[in-house]
Amino acid sequence: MSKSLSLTNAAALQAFVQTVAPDLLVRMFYKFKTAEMVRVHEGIKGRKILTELTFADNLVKKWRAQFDGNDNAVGFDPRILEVAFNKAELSVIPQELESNYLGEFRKKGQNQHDWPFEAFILDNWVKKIAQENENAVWRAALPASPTATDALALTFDGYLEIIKDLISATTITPVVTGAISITNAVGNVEKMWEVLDPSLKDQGVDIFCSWQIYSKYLQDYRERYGKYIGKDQSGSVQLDWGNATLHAMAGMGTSSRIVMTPAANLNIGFDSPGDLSNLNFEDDHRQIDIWMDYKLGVQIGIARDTILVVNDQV
Amino acid sequence: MDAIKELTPKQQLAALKEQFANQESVILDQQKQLEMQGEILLDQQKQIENLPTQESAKVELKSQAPTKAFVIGKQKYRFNVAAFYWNNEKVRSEDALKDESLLKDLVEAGAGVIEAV
Repeated sequence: MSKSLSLTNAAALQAFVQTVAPDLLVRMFYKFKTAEMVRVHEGIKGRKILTELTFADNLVKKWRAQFDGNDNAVGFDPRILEVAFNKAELSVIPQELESNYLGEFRKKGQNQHDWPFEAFILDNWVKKIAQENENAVWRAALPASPTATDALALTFDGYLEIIKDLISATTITPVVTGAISITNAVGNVEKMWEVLDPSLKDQGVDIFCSWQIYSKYLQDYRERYGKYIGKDQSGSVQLDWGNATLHAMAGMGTSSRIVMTPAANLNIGFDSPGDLSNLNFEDDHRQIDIWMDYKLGVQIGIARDTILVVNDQV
Repeated sequence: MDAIKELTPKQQLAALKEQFANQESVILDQQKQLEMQGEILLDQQKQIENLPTQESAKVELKSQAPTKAFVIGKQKYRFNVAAFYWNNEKVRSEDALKDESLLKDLVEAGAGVIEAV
């Protein structure tokens, strides 16, 4: 720098000379993966009864002239898929941006609709809602005393809570695996496979677990067999010892529960899945109100041992 | 109003001012009453909003697990399920309580079907 140039006074202002990057940074959100895999029911305003048709054993028996059809040979087992009414709302006064440094991104003049980053913010707002939905379908738990201001994850029971209740009610029986580690993950999933109904072994089954358990499975597999397991585009892996696919579900958080059942046995209910992208915009003087209302709930279709196989970890 | 017409302009002005002042105080009183009613309604709304929603409240299920505890080492444990799968066999927790080696195995495995008490 030339010594002829005095920057002493200018340097004193250094703290005030800043460049504002014209973009925003956000966390990478994950999408509503579960809804793409399980059975989705539309048009549910309140409850939908899913009915399992059950057949008793020994439908066929030795011939004799007398007609004696089995008593209770065919049964109907109802499961209730109930949706909860939820809403997402956002209020914005774009002119308020002018009271801080972000105001420089507003255009000249006072147009109350001039909201910098509008598309970007709304796009990520919807993604964040998708993330909350993904978390809720697995981890939501309806409290004993709900209030009007409860978050989505307190408005219905997710799959993990339903499983916990099914175990308490002795409807299903957990397989003891103990804590899953990088030395026992493969063996423990195999233990669960042993309990699975043989018809599902033919037909194929899905195994849902958290990313944490999924990583332990892959590490255990690598150490046992000295090779990496092949993954598909979504990261799911086809297990080579059976007709089963292991899926890592971000919505399961840090749960150690492993759920083995066909994906079609897991159900999600909506009034309309389109409601999740149906943004409403309303002007209230200087304020812009953005909102969407939607209904969401989940249920497990057939909840019986050998069809819904789970481990003993929560 | 006819009585006001008989007064001088100054007197008319004073009478009108007094009339308006009276009307203003009546309006202010009504406004206060409305505000109080509004506050009462807001309180009632808050109370209603915070009430549990009867139809969607969760009913906790009573556990079917045996209440009897067992001791391994110096620690006391209890089953939290009525039955479980162990080595591909379905075992009733009641029966497991009679099998000490199985209980030891469950503790060693860190089984989630038992909990320390």
